Amino acid sequence: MMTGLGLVSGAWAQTTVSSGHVDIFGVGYIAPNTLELLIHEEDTMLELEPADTVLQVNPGGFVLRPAGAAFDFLGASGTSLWILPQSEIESANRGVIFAGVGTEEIDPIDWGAGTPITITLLSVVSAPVGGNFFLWSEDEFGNPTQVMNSTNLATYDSLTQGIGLHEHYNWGFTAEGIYEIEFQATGTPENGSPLSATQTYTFSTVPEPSTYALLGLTAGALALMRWRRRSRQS
Amino acid sequence: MKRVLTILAAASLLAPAGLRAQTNTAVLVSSTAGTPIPAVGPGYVVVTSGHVDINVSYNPTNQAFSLGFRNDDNGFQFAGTNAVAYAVTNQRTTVPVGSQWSFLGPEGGTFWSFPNGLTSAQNKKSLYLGWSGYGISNGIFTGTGGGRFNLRVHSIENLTTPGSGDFYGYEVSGGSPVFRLSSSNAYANDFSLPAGGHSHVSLAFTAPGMFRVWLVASGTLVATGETIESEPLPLYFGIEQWEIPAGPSTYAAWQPTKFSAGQIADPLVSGKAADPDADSFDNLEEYAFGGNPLVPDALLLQPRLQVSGSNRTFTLRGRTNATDLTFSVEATASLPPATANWATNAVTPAGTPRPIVGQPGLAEMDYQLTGLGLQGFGRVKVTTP
Repeated sequence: MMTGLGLVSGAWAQTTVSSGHVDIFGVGYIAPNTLELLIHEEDTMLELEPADTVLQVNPGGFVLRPAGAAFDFLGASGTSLWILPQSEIESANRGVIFAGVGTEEIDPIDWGAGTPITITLLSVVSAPVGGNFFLWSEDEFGNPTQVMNSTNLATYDSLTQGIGLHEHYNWGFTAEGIYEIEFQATGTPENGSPLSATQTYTFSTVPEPSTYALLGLTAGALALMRWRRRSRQS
Repeated sequence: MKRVLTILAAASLLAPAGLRAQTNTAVLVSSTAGTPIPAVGPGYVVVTSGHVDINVSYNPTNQAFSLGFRNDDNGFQFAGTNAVAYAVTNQRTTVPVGSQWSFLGPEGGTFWSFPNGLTSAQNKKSLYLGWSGYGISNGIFTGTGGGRFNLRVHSIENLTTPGSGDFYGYEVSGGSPVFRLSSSNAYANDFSLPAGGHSHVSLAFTAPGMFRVWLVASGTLVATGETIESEPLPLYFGIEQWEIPAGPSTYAAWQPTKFSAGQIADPLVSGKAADPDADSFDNLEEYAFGGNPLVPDALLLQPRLQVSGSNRTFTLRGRTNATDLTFSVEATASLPPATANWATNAVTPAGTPRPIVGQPGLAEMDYQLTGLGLQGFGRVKVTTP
């Protein structure tokens, strides 16, 4: 797991998470009437506030859209994708977050025979040009089933998961940049009222490796220029 | 040539002891609505769960790995020898088109799938079956994060239809399987997992029946750089079969369940007279009394003699499914060779053998020793061709 602190807008520190096993949707329940939607780091057992966290898709997550008509929902053949894979091993090989959805923080004794938890994509607050978001699962042969699709929210806007469970999906983004996406968790405990928690998540897709190397070179040149300027001033 | 061994139990040496606790064998089934629940018989109990992990533990004190099924709904763990991961008929899956799937059988054929995703598992009414290392503390083994350990398939037995079927654990990348576990030598068989973490891969069995899959766990110690490897550890997977059958057994059939191929080739390790764990029970005795030849377990294997009033009960733990063993219990009133009179006429079988749960083919058997006076001794003689 790699976590870093960076300054954003000069106003407050944000935590950037870019690898390791992370439940992006970590749903908790504080009886009797508080539902929580947080980011749960499995490796450290830390709970992170989505508003203070950047979930980064590292360059290793860059792929071209998988072949086959079953993946046409992701865009035309050859579409660029930044993915967080469903598979832990592939996530580790790519050096990206192994992104999960966990309802284990809800104590079944507290929740009782309540409803499952539903997580709904309410809106894409901001995204880069051409940036779409997808969440899909793959079966034992790699065949996809859509779960969320920012281009077709009328059909694919939510997932439902029982209490005390843990699931993994494929997360996909179609352009480099920053995505702010608003999600809402809802559910009703036994003998309780409907509860909800709404959070805006920030995802950052890092440029594909070749572009990334070029930017690195540019940054190196800039650093060199700054050093030279300071040298002249001293 | 016949080989005869004797194990002695003396009344004067035994502390009173009750029988080992017996519990039902858990048949683990998905709690998804609509899952067909098997009607299990005596000695078994159905446990439904939304998420079960095959959990690996490591005890640093004795450097021992262990395997079990962990019900993630409540954290309860079942010993690997006392639970069955059950596959329902809904898990029958058709082998798809494409040569990359030929390991599952001929195109259009049937295999049984435990999918790696919760959604797919629920669709199939399959147990959502993962892998975890919750019983391994961070920092013990080398590797990224808190350290990693490995699993591999040592061997597989189909106890219902011997020789039938294979077992695979795989992921899919780019439309093709990437093997993590395989009972076939044709595919990769080295599954790396995080200590303290968990993972999911798709599991497949290519035939129905009760499978006993033997896994080996290993890890490299941070402290010394030494690689620790477990003995083969069993797990039961019941593919449309909830009962663990006790098929006939021979010494030759038992060997591969305890020894690696290399060890089998070395009679000083796996021969009948060898005692690789130096617990004074040689391999034939380990086989006869249901022991582990690589772990000192003499206390488990020794017969017991209990005195209650005028009753002297000799209790033997032994193999009931062996076709190459004969057990004979004898008693004598005096131990010194000059006066000992070992005979079977003072021994009477009492009751019926009690199967040892989770260890098919093994049972405890009671015998009453009679007419011995104030002092008595019992022994068991095992004869093999």
